[in-house]
Amino acid sequence: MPTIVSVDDSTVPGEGSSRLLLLVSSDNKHIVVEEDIMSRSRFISKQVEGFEATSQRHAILLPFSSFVLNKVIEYCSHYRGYYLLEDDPDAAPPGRSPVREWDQEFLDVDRNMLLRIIKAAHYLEIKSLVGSCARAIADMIRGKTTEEMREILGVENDFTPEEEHSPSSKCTG
Amino acid sequence: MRTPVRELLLAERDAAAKALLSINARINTAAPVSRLAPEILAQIFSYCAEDEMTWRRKEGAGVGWISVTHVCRRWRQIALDYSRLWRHIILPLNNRLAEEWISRAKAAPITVSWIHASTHKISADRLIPSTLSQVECLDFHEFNGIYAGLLHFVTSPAPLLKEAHIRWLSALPHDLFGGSAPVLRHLSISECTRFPWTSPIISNLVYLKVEYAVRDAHQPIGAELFSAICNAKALKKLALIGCVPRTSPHSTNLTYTPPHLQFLHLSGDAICCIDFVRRIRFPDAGVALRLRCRTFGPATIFLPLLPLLSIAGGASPASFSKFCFEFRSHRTLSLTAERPGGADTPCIDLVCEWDHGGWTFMDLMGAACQALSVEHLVELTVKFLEIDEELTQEIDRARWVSLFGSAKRVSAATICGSAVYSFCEALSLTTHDGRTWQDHDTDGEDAGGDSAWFFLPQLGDLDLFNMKWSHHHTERKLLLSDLLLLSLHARNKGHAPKLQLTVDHCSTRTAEKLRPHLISLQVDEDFFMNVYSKMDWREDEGGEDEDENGESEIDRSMQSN
Repeated sequence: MPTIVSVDDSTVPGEGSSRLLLLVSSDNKHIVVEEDIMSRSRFISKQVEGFEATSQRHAILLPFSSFVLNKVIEYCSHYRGYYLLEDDPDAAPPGRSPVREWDQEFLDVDRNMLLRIIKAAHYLEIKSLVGSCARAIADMIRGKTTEEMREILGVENDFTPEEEHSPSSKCTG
Repeated sequence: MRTPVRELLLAERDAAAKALLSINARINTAAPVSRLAPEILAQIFSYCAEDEMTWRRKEGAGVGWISVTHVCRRWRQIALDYSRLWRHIILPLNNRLAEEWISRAKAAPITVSWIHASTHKISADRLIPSTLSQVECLDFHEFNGIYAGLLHFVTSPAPLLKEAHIRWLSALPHDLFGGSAPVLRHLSISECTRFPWTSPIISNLVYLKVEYAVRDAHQPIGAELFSAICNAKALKKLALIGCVPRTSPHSTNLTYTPPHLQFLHLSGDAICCIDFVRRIRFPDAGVALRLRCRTFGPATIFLPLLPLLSIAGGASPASFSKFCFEFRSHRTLSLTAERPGGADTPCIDLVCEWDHGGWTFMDLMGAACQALSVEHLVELTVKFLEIDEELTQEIDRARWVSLFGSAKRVSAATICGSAVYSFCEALSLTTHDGRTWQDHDTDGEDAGGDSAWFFLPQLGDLDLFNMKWSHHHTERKLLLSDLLLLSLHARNKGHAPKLQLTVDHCSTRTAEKLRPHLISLQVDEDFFMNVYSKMDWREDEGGEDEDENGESEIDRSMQSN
């Protein structure tokens, strides 16, 4: 659960049609963003509902850096007002996320950044972004050998010799 | 031989190996990818698997994605726990692998595919009984033979089956899915020799395609087929290929009222197809009707039935605005008619072969025009892929004019194909200076692409507006001159011509001639640099109005491009 702190009204300006939210990153950067933009995040939406119940404004503390948070905000800003099936809580989950050209460019980042973004998207419950990141990671490892996958994602072989040579591990068609 | 020293060293080696594994496990724990939730990793794996499955179905490649289960213990455990990852079983697999696969799928709904022709025999009876109740989708579309073991798949009850594509080169069993497939909605059968039309599974279908093999097929009995499809009240798409029954002329009670039908594809003997269409009470919204007809008898029987097509295509035939006639060979016509609104709207797509029977090319065109009401035609395309002398002789200019003379709404028309010159010559199409079409252009086989501009004005007093003229290969001054003439023709009739000209290449002189008659102009970069930019448009006293800033609409169009 995130830590929620009460904030002064002056910290969060604006009383326009779209309210403003204060997001605080793990490196203590304060980022003000319109609520509309972040409404794609089910996590944020739930937090906002909680605010309405208490009639108090809060900042939302998030467990990832401002760099990652800004990337997520960029994604949400791009799709502001767009309907994405994956993010519709009332829709049946699609079989697979569609490939969106803009997402491919947006996620053309290094491996660690990609992993941070998908983790943040998962935390914020933005399913469309999780799906796009998952596809980007799948693209990285598809067609690679086991050794190459380990190399790409910084994973070591931790199988015992028995596990490695068990019959079921050889189901490679 | 074991000695104490050796024992000690072996123990030390085991300890070192364990320590190494432990360190590797800790490295993995610290790896960024290990901080991802299991469900995210499972999603990544499923993308790897799904993409590869799609590819494998086409190429028959291996299942390399399984190597994700060899990366580390966590990855393997997540993959094994995610049963949906194993839901797509692609045959042929050897027995051990198939059983392992199914055990990993646990209770997840399964898709079973037969990916390509193979003589590889599997003991499918070992694979199937335990899993058939789990099968959600059956795809034997590429299955290229009969294998007795697979009979289980099509004769046992399938409680979860939603979709089945089956290529079956013989008679399908009467007890298809044991008569019990309560959630089956999509059934596609190809190349069978007999389909069990009395099967109760048909009644729940939304999509049904039945394609009979060309040879040895037992044609369905009309009453049986009509009874089957009449029970399928939810049917939206129906395709009957090679199995449209020949009904008795006395079977007037055989009618079909499909309340939700959106798409109907019939292929086979033209008389049977048209007879089938005649027995349908189409929904008011119309359907997308695709007919692939063969006629073996005189066309006199077939052609008078063409007007029925307009009924099939919608309650109001007036809504058809776009026709395309494509003469593929001496006696093969492809005819498409569309409503405004694109591919999803009701349409007619007809391919028919006809023989003489005293009917000519013009008879066929006449029947088609009568069926489709050319009064509402907006866009006409006539393509000649092949036309021979015999057919050319059948072209009658006076009749052509009478057929299309009422097509007063036509705003775009194209005649193209290798035989266009013969066609134009047969219609005695001449240009304004009396020379024949052939004198004008000998560019090549696609040169006639815009020849419609020649003959349309001769068909009647057409309202020429919004003409689009496109040319990409070479300069044809005479064509441009004719375009000029047509625009003048339209202007003289009190219409403001909106000519859109798309050119890659034309001379400055020709462009200057055209300029007064253009509303918009799209040009490529070369044309802009070499021609357009060198032209002094402003000094032309043609007809283009300038706004208060001295900019013509052409200039604005140019800038916006």
